[in-house]
Amino acid sequence: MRLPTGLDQAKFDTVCTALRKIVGENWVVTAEDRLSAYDDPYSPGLSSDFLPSGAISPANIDELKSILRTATQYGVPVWSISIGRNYAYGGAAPCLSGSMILDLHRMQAIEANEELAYAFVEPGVTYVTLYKYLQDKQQKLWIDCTDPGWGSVLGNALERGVGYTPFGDHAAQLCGLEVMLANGEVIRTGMGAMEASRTWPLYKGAFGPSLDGLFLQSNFGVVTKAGIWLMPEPESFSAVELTFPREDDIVGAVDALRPLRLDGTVPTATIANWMRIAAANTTRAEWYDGKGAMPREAIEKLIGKMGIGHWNMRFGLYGRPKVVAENLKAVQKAFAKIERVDFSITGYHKGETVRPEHRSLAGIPSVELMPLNWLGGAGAHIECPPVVPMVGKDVFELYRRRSELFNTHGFDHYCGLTTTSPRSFINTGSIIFDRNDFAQCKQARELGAALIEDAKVMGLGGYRGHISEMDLIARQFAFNDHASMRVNEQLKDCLDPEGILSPGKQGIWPKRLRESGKDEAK
Amino acid sequence: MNRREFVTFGASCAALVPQASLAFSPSAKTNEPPLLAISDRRYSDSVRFANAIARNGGEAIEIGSDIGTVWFGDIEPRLRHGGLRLAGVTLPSDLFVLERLVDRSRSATVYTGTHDWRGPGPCSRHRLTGAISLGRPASELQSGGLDWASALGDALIPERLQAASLETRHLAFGLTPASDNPKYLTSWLMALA
Repeated sequence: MRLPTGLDQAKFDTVCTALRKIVGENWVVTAEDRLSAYDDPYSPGLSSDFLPSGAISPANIDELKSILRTATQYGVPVWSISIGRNYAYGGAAPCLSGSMILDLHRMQAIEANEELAYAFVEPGVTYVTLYKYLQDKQQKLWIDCTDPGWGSVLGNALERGVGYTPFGDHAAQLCGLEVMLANGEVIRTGMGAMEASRTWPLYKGAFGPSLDGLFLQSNFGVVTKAGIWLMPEPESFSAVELTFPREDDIVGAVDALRPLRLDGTVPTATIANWMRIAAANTTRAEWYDGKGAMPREAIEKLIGKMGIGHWNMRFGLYGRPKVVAENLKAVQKAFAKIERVDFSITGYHKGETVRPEHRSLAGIPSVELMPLNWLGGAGAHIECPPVVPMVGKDVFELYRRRSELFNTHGFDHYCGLTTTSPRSFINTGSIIFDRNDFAQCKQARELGAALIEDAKVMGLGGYRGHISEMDLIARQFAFNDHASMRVNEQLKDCLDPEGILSPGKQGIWPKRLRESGKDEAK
Repeated sequence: MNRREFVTFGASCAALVPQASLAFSPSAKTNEPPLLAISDRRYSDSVRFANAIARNGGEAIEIGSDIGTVWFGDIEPRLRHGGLRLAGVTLPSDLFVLERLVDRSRSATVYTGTHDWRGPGPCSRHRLTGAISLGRPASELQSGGLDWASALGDALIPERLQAASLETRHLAFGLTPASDNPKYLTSWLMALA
């Protein structure tokens, strides 16, 4: 445990006493053993650099308001989390050691509207909870969920997470936020700024500027509720899986996919290299027991035995059966020109049981972390995914450069390309390591930094990052002498002048920590 | 693509199936929480362990599509009616998920073992940790041979365990893995509140 900067134990105890009066004894945690639930479980040897002083869990916005007042009074920074399962990016752990975790998991209200296909959710609502809620109410609505689906619907959308259905761009499904500012004031964005608005979760605009974006990947306020659009259950859908045998097939595959994404035939898609499929189904020791990255011969053997491609693409086609059939024809025609491409198509009608391997395409949550087992030991992974243009040669060049970096650092290259935006991919590249292996943790950190730096050379920036890499990534957004960050800092100083909300998130530090913050976090 | 459906390659599909049809039955001591064993049908060692627990009055539950579905569909609803003991020989990720799902409750993992066949040579390495007397699990494991998982299951029946101060044992010996063994498994026992 680390105390908040400037507070001694006695003062901190006073703060905790005040907080316990707000939320009750059980919902303020300072004991080391219980506080470990807020550690970063995938930390690459950096746990001690990102330690909270405690955790507090409000049940509602009245309690939240009192907490923020107390935090401001005593100068205690709070790091807000919804559920805290933003694993690979830091989990619940704060950028600034000594922050108190503001754990919103007890706020779990759901209100869904089948007619207009939306729901209001609070931060503690997980994909599993929302899915069960809709099932129990027999509402013919689909959610779109991440994989795994145990995290917060709202939290993931605010972090710009992605899924696998046409509603896979989670931030794009947000419609109307309720936000508490550092001073305890509650605002509602969009049409929600009206009293008794009937269109808050229906129309994203407002009369005037849109404020929503200010609160995504942000530390300007605490989002307490959001409208989120849901997908009406389609009459049918087809799960389409394609495999491409050769490494350089990615060029043709991407260039064939792009027009289908741009014209809306394919609503979203995921491309996985051999390693992503292998790690989702097997362990490395089943294939190879040498040190360092797997050699090409071993990879080829694995690909052959598993019957997979070097590249494996998957997406769903949704709608009325005739529409899906027409779209399938367009897909087959587009990809047929690639040599040795293999198609697999599985069709489902409304109400049919979806096979486990296709559930994510139907918004059915599961919790499976198989890639953690790839190396054995205490598996973990970190991510630093850049956004890359949906152009075959660009994707291939990035892949080759990243493969080189992964391999020279001793890791197998895990590569995923997800397109929820029709013109680009998010390139997830899990660095899988044994968190109990000191040397491997160091290698993982060095590889993470090298990948971020190399992406910048290609003009590519990260869309998300581990708490230990947020400053590095933020520094890369340097156009016009970091003008964007300077505006962010102005906003921070205006909306949170005491700097109590999630200091350091996305590289945005409050004024009092701007110079010392990065050191203080260590 | 779901890993448990991906059975066309290698020899990853276990021939054994757990005794999942066993009726839910409380353990021998009526005041003790029920004991459930998680079974991953891809791995014979996992199935053997779960079957050993089932033979001793517990219940084997098969991981269908994923551990989360087992948790949310089966374990969590039972937990609303009282405590449970949960055990398994699984991949580490399954234990990780379970520990994270209960991390803000008063639940605890009372024993973990890692079983490591990675690397060349016939030697396997095992690390047992728990606030229980590890003598019996260690000796059963060592003498279990091909059926080590069953022997370990018999040894980890909670009523046969004695509380002790936290202990860790490192063992290394030749233990032949099943043909479908993924080369690294964990054994574990949790008390869920």
